[in-house]
Amino acid sequence: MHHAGFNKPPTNAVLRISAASIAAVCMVIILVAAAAPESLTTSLEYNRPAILAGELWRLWTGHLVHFSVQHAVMDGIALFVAGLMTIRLCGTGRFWLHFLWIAPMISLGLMWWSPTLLVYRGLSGIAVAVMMLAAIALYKASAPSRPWVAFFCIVMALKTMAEANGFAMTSANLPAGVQVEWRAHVLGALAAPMVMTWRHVWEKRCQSRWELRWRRRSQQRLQRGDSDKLSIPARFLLD
Amino acid sequence: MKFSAVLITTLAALLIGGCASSFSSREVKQSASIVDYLYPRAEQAPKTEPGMAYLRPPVRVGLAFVPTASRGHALPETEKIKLMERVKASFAPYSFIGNIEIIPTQYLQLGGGFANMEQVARMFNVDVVAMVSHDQVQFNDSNKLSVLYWTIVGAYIIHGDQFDVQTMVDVSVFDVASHKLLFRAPGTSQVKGAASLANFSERARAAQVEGYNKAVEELIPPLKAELEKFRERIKADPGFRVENRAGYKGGGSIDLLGLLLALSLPLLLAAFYFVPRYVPRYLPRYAPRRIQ
Repeated sequence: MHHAGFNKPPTNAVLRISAASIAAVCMVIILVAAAAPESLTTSLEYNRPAILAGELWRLWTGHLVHFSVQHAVMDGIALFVAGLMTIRLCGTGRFWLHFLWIAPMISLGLMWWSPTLLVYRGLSGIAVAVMMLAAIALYKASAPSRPWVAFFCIVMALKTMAEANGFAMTSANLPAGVQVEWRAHVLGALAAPMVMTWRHVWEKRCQSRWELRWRRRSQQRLQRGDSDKLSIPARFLLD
Repeated sequence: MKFSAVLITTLAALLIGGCASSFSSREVKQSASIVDYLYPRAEQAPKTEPGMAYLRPPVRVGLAFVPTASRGHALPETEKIKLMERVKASFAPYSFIGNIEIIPTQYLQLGGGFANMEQVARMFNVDVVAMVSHDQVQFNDSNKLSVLYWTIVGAYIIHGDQFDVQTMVDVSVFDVASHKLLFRAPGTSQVKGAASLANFSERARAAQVEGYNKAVEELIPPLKAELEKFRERIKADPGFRVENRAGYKGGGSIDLLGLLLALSLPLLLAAFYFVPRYVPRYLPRYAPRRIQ
């Protein structure tokens, strides 16, 4: 059994460490929501004018701060569950790499799509992206799961449409005056396939570059008469 | 013959020397008063009606010059827009301020009052209007060098005329719905210079624009300070109430359905990825696709 994108499945030790890393991040997020002073949270939140004024760290940190502990707990659980799956299917390194890419993609998307949104906090955009990453990886890894994954995506889309029309169930998680930013969920869902496609193209490109370099060196060695130094696959391929 | 030649020369010198006063008046004034605009026919002091001003951030702000009757020496509209762009830029960094619309003076009526302000606010979809009123006086005087204008060449070379342009610009910010003055800030400037007779009007016009530019530069720091003071004031003032506008703050929040969906993924993973590996071969099962 191979899992998506990797030649070898991660060992149990690696999985434990990965699970612990996601759990630690989720705990830190909940602790920040519970105990961090408001001035710190304000300096980390997504704030459109501040980002335009050059405070670019907010593109990442805006997703790590929340309006309430309940808000952080719900987002943290979703990220933990979906993150474990993504790590199992895609690998730990790729999961965190995707995390780093997806966060600014959602923030920049919000700046473009929702210019009236001035302040945003929450991990749900990334959590939705990670859920989509897991769904895509499962879709690729197991053909029989595809109808169920498609059903999952349809339910997600319907839920987001309901949120866009004001039928959100999360009002209890958010303080008065703060609305669910459904656009972040849409952007997260769009960012996941974009990041996976980009990774696929990039890895293919790196692989082909490495292969070309290897072929060129082998041919140069052959031309110099150093055929003894050629590796066995090179001898096989170049003959 | 000799006497008549001297007389003609003297008269010519006097005429040329007096050209400066012939071409331009001694004092040029242009002003646009916010009081004249808002209360055009007020014979008594305007009564302030007690009422609540609701501010819903991000507040949409309209920015306009108070219309003026004097067309001859009025600041050109292009210059007004440039000045308003600078004032707009000073408001831009504040998160509680949303769109800032520049309202051309043609949209405002002379002495239009609050009725006109409300019409324009509806048209531009703004909650608050910042009105720029101004007062500029230009004093023109001839100096001793102007006597050399009689040489004709001197009228092009000698800076025998001088001007002193004194400008005051004032921004008053009004809540359109409650007609309340939220805050105001002034800026002043003085520009002095001299020019020859030939290019006096050109230099004087440039000095007028420079006067406005400098006054607006002077205006921006007190405007920011007044805005900060106003933010503090409305926390304690019962006449103001701040309400969040829908969409100003957003939370990325997962609801119960989202959480259930997230929890369904491991079930799918278990059902279609792990369990088939452990099902005995003689039982029917799904075969997971191998990914190379």
